[in-house]
Amino acid sequence: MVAVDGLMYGFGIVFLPQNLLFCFIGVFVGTLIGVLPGLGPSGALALLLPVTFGLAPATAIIMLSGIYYGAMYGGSTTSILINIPGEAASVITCLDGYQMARKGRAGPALGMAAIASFIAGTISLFGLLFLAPTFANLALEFSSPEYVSLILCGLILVSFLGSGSRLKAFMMACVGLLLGTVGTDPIEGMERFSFGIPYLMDGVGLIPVIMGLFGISEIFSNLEEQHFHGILKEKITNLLPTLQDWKDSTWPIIRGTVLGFFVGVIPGTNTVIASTMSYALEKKVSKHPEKFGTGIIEGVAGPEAANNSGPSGAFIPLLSLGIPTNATMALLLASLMIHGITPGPFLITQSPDIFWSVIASMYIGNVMLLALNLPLVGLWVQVIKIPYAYFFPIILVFCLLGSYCIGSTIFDIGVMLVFGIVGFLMKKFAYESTPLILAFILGPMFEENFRRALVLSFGSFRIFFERPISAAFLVAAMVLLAFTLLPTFRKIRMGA
Amino acid sequence: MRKGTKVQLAARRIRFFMFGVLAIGLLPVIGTPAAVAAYPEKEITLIVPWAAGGGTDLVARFIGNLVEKDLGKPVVVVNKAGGGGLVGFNQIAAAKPDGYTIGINSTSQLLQKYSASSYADWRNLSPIALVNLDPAAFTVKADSPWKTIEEAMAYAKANPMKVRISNSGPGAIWHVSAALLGSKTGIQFTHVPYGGGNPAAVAAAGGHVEATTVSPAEVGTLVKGGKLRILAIASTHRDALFPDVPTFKEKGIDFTMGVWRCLVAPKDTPKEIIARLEKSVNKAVHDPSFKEFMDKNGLGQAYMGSAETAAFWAEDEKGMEKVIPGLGLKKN
Repeated sequence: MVAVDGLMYGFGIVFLPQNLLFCFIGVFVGTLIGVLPGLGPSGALALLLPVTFGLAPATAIIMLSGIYYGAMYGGSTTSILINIPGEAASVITCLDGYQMARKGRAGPALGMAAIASFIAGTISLFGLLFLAPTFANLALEFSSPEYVSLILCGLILVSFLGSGSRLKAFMMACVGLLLGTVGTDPIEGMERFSFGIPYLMDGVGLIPVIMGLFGISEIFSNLEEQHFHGILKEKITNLLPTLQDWKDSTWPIIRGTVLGFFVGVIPGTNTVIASTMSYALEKKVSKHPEKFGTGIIEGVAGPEAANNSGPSGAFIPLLSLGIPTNATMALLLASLMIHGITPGPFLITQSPDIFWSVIASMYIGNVMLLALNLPLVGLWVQVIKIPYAYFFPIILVFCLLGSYCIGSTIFDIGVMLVFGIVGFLMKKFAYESTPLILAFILGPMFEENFRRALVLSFGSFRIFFERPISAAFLVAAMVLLAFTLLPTFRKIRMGA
Repeated sequence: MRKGTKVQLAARRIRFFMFGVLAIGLLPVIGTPAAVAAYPEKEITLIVPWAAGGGTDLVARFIGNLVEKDLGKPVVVVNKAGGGGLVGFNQIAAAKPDGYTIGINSTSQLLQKYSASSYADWRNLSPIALVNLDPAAFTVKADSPWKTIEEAMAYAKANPMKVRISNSGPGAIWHVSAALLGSKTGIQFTHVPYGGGNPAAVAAAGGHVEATTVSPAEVGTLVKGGKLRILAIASTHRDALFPDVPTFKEKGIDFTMGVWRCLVAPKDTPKEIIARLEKSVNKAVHDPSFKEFMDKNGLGQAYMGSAETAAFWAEDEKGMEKVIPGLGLKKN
């Protein structure tokens, strides 16, 4: 069993004291980020990226992925206690979690959220463990035409699965694509939109853009809003769910886990989609759908499971093909590259330490998270009470330092601040930043592979249809596009 | 008498004045050797024009540590990324030439001259020493019908444009290498740019291209894993990692090309300081820990002193001048 041997090898690396320590730091910071409204995992990852420069690559990735799944755990706490999602994926948990808290059942809600997260996080790792090597074996077959068709699928999904206006998502994706054309073109080496500025020759920096759009803009919009700190006065008791709670939650957790995992694998999706779909599914299969939203435990267990199995799913395309499926994964990709590791088909053979230790660390991290979340709920509640007046200046300083550290240039700070303002305005007018960032990442990948595929085929477009994997993705893309456009066509016909 | 005294006084004044001028004029002359002799008196900044964690950064930090031990003053590595290395390069070139700001550069900066809107001229730098050289390696898939470089060249000659060679980017060193091979042998290849040496090697292993010209280090694991086979390397001597692979020279093709990394200082840095740094770098390169580090990272070891490197750069530039205009790179 390659998987078992590999996992044992991974555990061997994770149990080194420094790796255990950084795994702990990762999940701790992740939970903190999750608990604090206003800073998501992408922003936190971007902030802490420079800290990892001095670490061994495996240690760095262990810590950064800990932040990602840690944030998924922590986000539920504020959703349940104060009806404010700590990070985007926990929006759904507010619906029934907060109602449970109002009924005096905050304890079981918090407990079940943590337990569901733990179960989903652990089970979904098996999926990652067995599917990633299979994907990677296919990967030698993966050449430019396959990437083109796959990214095409992803780009369509980006605008298809956004939660707000589809037109706005499409517009943001276009802005991201344009932004991605800045810099030296990947096939002929021609500079585009660089205006002779050396800083723009390599393109606009991904990390300053993400820090601006996700970090700085959050600070701005939080400063604008007056947050209502309606924290529950009564003491939280009985964290352990009752037997009836367990009975009600078992199937939602299992369904949520499977759903979250597969949604995570698809490029262009994020964990909000997974948890929303899980909630909708539970409501559909429930014998008492009318009770959803009044504070029932199924409404917490399912979505929490889904948003914690999502990250495991998202690691598959990242580790085996080098394709990030969401903004957080894009940052992990960037951090791997900074450490000189190119994720892709050969990651498992060329850097087995990275691959297996990341997976093993996620098992350990999940155990740590359970331990952090159940007994330390009281501490996290205190953290929410920190006034923003103290909190945001600190985050701002970290953002400034972080963007400067990457290239030691003031230019990157400027880029970050500009995108902070842009991101703030986008939030204000309900434009999502995720389609922008994904198009910004996938666009240049698409262009590069598309043009390279045509070089490989001596100019013939047949290369995209002749190769089976590529053809299959193209068919999938067509189907998706049809689904997206169908309602629009229908509307036009109705109008006529 | 009084008059005479006056004249004498004036003369003395003038003499005094002249002496002063002379003394002030001479000060730098006397002063410089003193400063050079005492070098280094404070910390030295080593500018890496790329982000932290990359290959060049690792080399710079490792050598920086060894030089620090030898000179007894801290060597602080600062990453100044941007513009494919141009931002950092300009900062090295513009620094005060006093030996307290040095840097590292590589082939890719030389190559910017042919593709980028603005570029750095190596004549603005004084080389300290070259510390790493990786040659191009003509590599094919393990089940390729070509067992020798002669067979590959014969096929490529008979089928112009049919042999696709993957490289690490447009106008990058491995693109230039493959083009130089083409011009030396009169063969037309199809050049396929990838986003780096590793993806280019993977493309060859997947059979998506017929060959690649990236370094032995970049194809190393795939060759050892039985996916690729190196037919020849573009070096003057055989590679330490693959001693069975012949050089192009042995096969009668005068083709040597590779990527190098070099420690540099601003142009007018005093010769004595360059010599002091060169001595220190030489010592670092011959430290057993450096060899271990380079082997671990699959980097080719080489050493050239300051004068030798300057001659090597000029030679390298001559070779590039011949082939690059024919590559069809768009110059802005």
